Amino acid sequence: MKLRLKAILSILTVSLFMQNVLAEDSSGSVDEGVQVNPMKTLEKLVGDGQYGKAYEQAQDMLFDYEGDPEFDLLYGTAANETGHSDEAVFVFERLVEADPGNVNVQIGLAKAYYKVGNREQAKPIFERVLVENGELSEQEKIQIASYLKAMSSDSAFDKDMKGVFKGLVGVSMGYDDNINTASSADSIEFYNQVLGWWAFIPGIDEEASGYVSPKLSLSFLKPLSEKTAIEIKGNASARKVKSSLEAYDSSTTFIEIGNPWRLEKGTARYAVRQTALSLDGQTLFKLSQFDVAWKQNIDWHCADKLTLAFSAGAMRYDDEAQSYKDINLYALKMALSKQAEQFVHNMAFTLGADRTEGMVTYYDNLVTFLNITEEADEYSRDYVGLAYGIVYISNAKTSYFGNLSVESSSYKDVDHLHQANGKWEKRDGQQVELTVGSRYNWNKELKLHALASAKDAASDVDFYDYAKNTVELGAVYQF
Amino acid sequence: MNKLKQTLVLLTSLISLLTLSSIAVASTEASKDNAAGFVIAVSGKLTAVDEKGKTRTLTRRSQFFASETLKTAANSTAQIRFKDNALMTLKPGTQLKIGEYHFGGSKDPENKSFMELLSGGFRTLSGSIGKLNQAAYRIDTPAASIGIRGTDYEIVIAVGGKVFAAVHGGGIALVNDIGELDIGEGSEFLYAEISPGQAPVGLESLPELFVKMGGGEGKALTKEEKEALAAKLEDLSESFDSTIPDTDGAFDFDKFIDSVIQSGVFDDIINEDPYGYGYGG
Repeated sequence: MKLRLKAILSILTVSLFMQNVLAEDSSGSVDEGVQVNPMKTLEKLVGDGQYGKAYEQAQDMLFDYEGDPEFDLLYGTAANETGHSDEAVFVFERLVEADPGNVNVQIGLAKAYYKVGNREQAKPIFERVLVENGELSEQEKIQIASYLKAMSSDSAFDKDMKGVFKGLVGVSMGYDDNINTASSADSIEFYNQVLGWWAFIPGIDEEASGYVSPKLSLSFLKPLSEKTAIEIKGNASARKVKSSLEAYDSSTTFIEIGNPWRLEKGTARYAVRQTALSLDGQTLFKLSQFDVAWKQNIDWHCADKLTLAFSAGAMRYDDEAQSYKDINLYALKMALSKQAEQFVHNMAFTLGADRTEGMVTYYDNLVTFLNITEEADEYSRDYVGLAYGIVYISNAKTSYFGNLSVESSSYKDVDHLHQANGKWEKRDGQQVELTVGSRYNWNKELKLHALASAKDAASDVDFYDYAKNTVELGAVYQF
Repeated sequence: MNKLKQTLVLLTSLISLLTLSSIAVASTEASKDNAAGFVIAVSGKLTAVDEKGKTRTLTRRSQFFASETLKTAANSTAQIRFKDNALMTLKPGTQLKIGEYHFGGSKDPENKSFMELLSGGFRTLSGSIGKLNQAAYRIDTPAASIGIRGTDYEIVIAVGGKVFAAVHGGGIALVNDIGELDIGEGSEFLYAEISPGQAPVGLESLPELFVKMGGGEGKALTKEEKEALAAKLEDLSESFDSTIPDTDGAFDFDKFIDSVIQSGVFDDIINEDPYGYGYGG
């Protein structure tokens, strides 16, 4: 009995003591018992590309693991991909100290420097990694080269840099299968005092058309100082379209003078531009435009580049025979892009508005045939667009791209002819477009592309509703 | 009676052991509370000297305390993390005195971080103290005091006592008896130098002595290496264009023409229909 009591008390004593010792010893490792192996969890999260969760997991492990090279590489990678590159700089700096020859560590450090805007330290590391490491994969080489190119374009205004002339000629040809097409030209419209406007669209046309589109672009950039340059661009493009129902030639030409600025973590640019749009040799639009764009390298979880752009334009449409319109265009665009390994993601959000005033000659063919009336035309369109694009770089020569965009418009229209008191009428329009394609770089100068796109658009202001499928082949030669 | 005695002895032993182990845990916790931070990594030698001149060598996970002076040997670097989560890399030959340091949680009004850089340099990513209460954060150098307006910056004392500063995120204020200068966010400059007895001066580019880390250790490429790099970039340049999508927000002419044509404005001309309404835009 004595022995049994002694044994029980001894076991109790030892077990309580051990419990206490263990509690003390692993105060930072309580979670380990629950999470089985936090390093394995972290490794899996990083391997699966779940960098947000990986970063959170790493934060919980800092006290016990920080300074352990295996942990640091995972932690630094997660920090670099989640907008915590300022932390990643510290992580990779200590990893480089511990293992200076590790290429992954050097690339991680250079990326972290780049993302926090420290180009001076990022560039020599990228350069040396590319020069000294022949065993890098094609993707790694492309990625490093892309970073170096981004840095060289940011510093394009070096003092001793002479003016740079660039030119581009290209041609594309394609086929549009315009199905379910109907437009105001095909419709019969009438007005009722009670119900307002009605439109009857009698038939559906299939306006399959082929097109050829040549293009010429020239640009000249002359640095004015380390931070700014003057840039002159000229562009001319034409489009010859032929279908069973229509045949026309359109062309645009523009000249632009821009002033780009290098900022600490990005660029800014403003430009004025004059454009002319012609149809069958007759100039219909003249557009004067002012653009300002600001690009900033950022270190967000979802993006590494932010672009904000504003465009304002004044345009005159004058067909001489019928009417003229003065159209003011405003557009604000925000775009985010992120390069991740072989992928480049691009997201754009656009807010825009058109305001139109002018005189229109109406030939009212329903109420009083051949009654010709000149009336003021006021027209307003507000639109919002969202687009997502992705580029997959397969290798140094081939890449694939996809783009999905949706746009919704809200129109307001004053019809002085048919409505007393110039009452505003509100209408809507929507469109969705999907484009997929591939680009092949034949050599440094010649690039080929092939694309297919599907577009569906409808508007009850112009009474059109169409779907269009396009295939296109093109070539661009840069000199 | 003997049985009772034995039981009492065993119980007493048990209670003593429990008490001792609790004290051990409590004392560890207490020392953690008093610590200003701990060492993440050391390359070379890092020591801490207390007010009485007693020196101890620090290794990974060693703690350091307020009033201690941290010293890195020549060719040694170290990284430390403070209790408020601030990170700091100590450069070779650095002496940093942790003057007054207290962090009792983000809402503690007594939080403070006052340090003095005696030699060498550091890069730091500030923690809660600098972010929440800028007045509670200051680092003195021989040439100027540094107040904080942000997160990521670097300070080096060069030979001759000239102090160089670089901001990588946020901003700092450099103040001495002669003048003051803000660098970083909201300022024209990201870099500055302060000569002893002179006002801080902004610099256009990163001072050379900050460029040291990395695979090349800041070593410039040789002529042959530059040629090899240019050749590789030439090979790879064919894929560049597709990696950089157009995000400049410029007017898209092709789309514009499409939208104009599709809007019906040209219907009259295209279809030679004199009765088209032709409105829209």
